[in-house]
Amino acid sequence: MDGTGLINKAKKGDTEAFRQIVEANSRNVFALAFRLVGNEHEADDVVQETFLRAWRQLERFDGRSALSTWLFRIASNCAYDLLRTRTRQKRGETDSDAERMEAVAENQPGPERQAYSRQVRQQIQAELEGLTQQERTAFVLRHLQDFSIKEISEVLGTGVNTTKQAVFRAVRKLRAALEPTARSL
Amino acid sequence: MVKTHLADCEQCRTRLAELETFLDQVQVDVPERDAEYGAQVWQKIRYQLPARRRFFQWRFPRQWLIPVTAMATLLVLAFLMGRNSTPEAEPADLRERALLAAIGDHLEQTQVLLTDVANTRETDPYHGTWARRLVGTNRLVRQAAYSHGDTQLADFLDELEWTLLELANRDMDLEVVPAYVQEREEHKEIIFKIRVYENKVKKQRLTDQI
Repeated sequence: MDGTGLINKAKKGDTEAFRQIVEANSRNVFALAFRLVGNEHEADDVVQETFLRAWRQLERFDGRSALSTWLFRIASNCAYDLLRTRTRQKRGETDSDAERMEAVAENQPGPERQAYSRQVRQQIQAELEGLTQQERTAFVLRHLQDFSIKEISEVLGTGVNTTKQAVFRAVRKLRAALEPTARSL
Repeated sequence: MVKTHLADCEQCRTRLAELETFLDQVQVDVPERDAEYGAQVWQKIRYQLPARRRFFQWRFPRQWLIPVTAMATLLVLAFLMGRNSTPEAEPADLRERALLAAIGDHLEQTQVLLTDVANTRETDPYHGTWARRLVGTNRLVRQAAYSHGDTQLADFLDELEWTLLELANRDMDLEVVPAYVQEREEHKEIIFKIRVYENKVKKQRLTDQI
C-alpha cells in the first residue's frame, strides 16, 4: 500500500497502517536526527518522539507533500526542541568546545589524532547548534542528505529563495567558524 | 549558466573546489541502523500512542456538533439537577458540588487561554506552558466526570484535552500559516462549547445553593 493509503487508514485509528509507516521511515528519520543532534542515543529519542507527534498530528497531513517530507519536518522540530533543552542545560559551563578542542590539539599530538578528530566533529556539532533551526535543517538536508532545494523548501515550509538563502547563510557561518580547523586537519 | 561561468572563471572554480573540500570535511558518518530498526522503534512507541478521537469527526456532520452537544448537556444537567432535589445535603451532594466548582474553574481558565490564543497572531511559548498545566487539571476533572457517570461532559473534556495537548506542543512545532488559521477557527468553536458548559455549570451551582 502506498503512503497516502496508509496515512488515510492511520487517520482512522488503524495502528497496523501506522506501524508500516514507522517501520518504513525510521531509518531515514534516524539519519536526519543524528545529523541534527550529533548523538546516537538522542537521535533515537528524536525518532520516537517524531512518530508519536506524527500520530497526534495525522489530521494535519494533507498530502500536498510526501509523507517522508512531512516526517522530516516533524523530526527537525523534535531535534530543535532537544537542542534547545541541551543549550539551556549547557549554560553556565565555562570552557567552550573550541577551547576543549584546542587543549586536545596541544596536549595530545600524533597518536591521539583520532581523539582530535572526534573533538573536531564535536566542534562541527557545536557550530551546527549555533545556527538557527532553519539554517541547520537546510544545511543538513542539502549537504549531508543531498536533498534538492525544492524538497528542503517543503520540509521547511518556506519558498525556494528563502531556502537558498538559509543554505547559503549556514555554509558561510560554518566556513567562518570551521575553516581554520578544517585546514589544520 | 553557472557551468558556463565556471568554465570561464578560474577564481570561481577555485572557490567552488575549496567549498567542496570544506563540505567533504564536515561530513558526518551516521551510525548504522539495521533493517529491524523500524520494528524496534514501533515496539517502543506502540503503547504510548493515544487513541485517535474519531467520534466528533465522522459520526456527526460538524454543523450538528454544537446543537447536539448543547442538547445532550441540557439532558445531563437536568438529570443531575433531578438528583440534587433532596432537601438535605448529603456527602454525595458535597462531592458533586466540589466537582462542579472544579469543572467551572477549569473551563473558565481554558476559555481564557483559548481566547488568548485565538486572538494572537504568533506562537507564544507561554501558551504552551499554560496549556501543559491545564492538561493535568483536565485529566483529573475528566476522570472525576467519568467516575461520576457524566459521560457527556467527560467526552467533551476528552475533546478539550486534545486541543490542550496540541497547544502544549505548539511551541515545538513548525506551524504553517493555513493550519494556524484553521486551528484558530477550531478554537473559537471550542470556546463556544466551553461557554455553553460553563453557563450550565454556573446555573447548576446556583440551583444547588438555593
